[in-house]
Amino acid sequence: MLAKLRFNNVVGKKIVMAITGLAMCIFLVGHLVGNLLLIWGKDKFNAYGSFLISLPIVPIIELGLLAILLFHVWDALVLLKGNYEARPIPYHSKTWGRTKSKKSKKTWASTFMMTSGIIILLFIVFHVWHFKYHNPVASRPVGDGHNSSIVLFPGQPTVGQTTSGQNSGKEAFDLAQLVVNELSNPIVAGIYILCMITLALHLYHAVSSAFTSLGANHPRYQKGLMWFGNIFTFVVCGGFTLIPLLIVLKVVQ
Amino acid sequence: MSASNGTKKNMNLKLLVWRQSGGKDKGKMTTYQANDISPDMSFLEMLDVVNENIIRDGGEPIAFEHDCREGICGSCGVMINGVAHGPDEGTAACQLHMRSFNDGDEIVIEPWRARAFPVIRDLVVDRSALDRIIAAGGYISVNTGNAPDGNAIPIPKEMSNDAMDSAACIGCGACIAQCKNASAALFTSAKIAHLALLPQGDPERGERVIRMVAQMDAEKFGSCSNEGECEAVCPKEIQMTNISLMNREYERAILANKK
Repeated sequence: MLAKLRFNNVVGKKIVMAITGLAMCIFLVGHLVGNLLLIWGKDKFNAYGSFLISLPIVPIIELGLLAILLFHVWDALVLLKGNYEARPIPYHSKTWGRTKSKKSKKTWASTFMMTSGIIILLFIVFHVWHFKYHNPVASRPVGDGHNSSIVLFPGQPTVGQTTSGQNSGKEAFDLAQLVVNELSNPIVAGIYILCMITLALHLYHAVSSAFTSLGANHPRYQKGLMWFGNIFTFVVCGGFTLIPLLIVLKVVQ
Repeated sequence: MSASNGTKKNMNLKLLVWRQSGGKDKGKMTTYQANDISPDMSFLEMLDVVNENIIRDGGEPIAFEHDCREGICGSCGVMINGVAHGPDEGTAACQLHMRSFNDGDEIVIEPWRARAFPVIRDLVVDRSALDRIIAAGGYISVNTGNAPDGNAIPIPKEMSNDAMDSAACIGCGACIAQCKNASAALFTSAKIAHLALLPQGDPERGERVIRMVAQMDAEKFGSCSNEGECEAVCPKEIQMTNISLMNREYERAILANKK
């Protein structure tokens, strides 16, 4: 009578939303650490990029991330439809319960989760097209099409490389230069910064909400989880904002 | 004005009330004047006065649900100026007093809005969806025969406190009315929690949460966005931690249930 895994209802779907959302948060940490190498040095960033591409597991991880993203988006849309249908006749006037009691945690962030989510989804599509598939929008293509004149791994081999291996001395794409060229344009940098603010808005509600959906909301550690969510949001989104900001301010060139 | 220290004078109010003659009627907001309202009246008493006037003028009185008027039965409940049960914290509409309003205020009064709560008449909605959620699993198995010894089963004090806090839910439906998604998560979770926390509820623990969540889903309530609007308007101050407990119970059940 009772089916095996019951994720196909309002509680189960929120659990899926929470798991996929937190998984993407873990990805964000890795992505941020990698990207911050750009501030340290362009060669460091390019070396990291080439190292990632050389790993055979990366395409599998990418597919996994895509699946996680699609689950998150699909469940959000199904839940949105259900929520929309759950109140077919709207109120004549409706105010936030916050006006009555401070116990409500409703914020603009939690109110516009779907809007911020859609903006982030569009940003992800643009961002992947922009930098993963090297499509400059505001500057000339870097180097000769997809290959730059900069040679990575000159001289001694790095981790994962062998002197006689095919990668030694191979021309690699200068992603760092593309990123710097693109984000030097104030409009492109502005788009990236605005999208990071949108992400911050999303995460401000999402991280602590995900823990609640997973069942981790208890008087003993509820405050701690709220703080964790806020600090995580600040560090991750602040870190990502730093990159276009420093480039457009010509600190990183 | 030293004689009337701390008291207000009688008020004149403008009411904007949802009128709907039945399930098939489209319904509309109608304006009423409530004059000479004492600040010591309860909100429902104010509606009584308005209804007396309507009846005297040969009209159909505003239908609203009420029973105990002591804030413990869960019958009353309307949206007052866009907030379930009105502006006072931890208060049902019947325990809300007119001193919370000012002379000349316009008060908007609407029924709970949810697909699962069809309007029967005016401000009265059909909340039997909540009964069906309880019937799906909000029960325990008890042996027939003599009443068991009251202290035969040891229950930690904190456990019993938490269970009693959850059991305080009167099923008024304010949480659903206030929720932007019309989610019944707070109601259902309170009903799950108050049995799951006690040893008496243990035999059905896994089945209960699966069945009650399935019923909540079948009644077409929305999903929980963890905003806590429900907790803010609950007249019994049921906490959001119940929702987390329900999610925990649900995860435990889908991982541990054998069926």
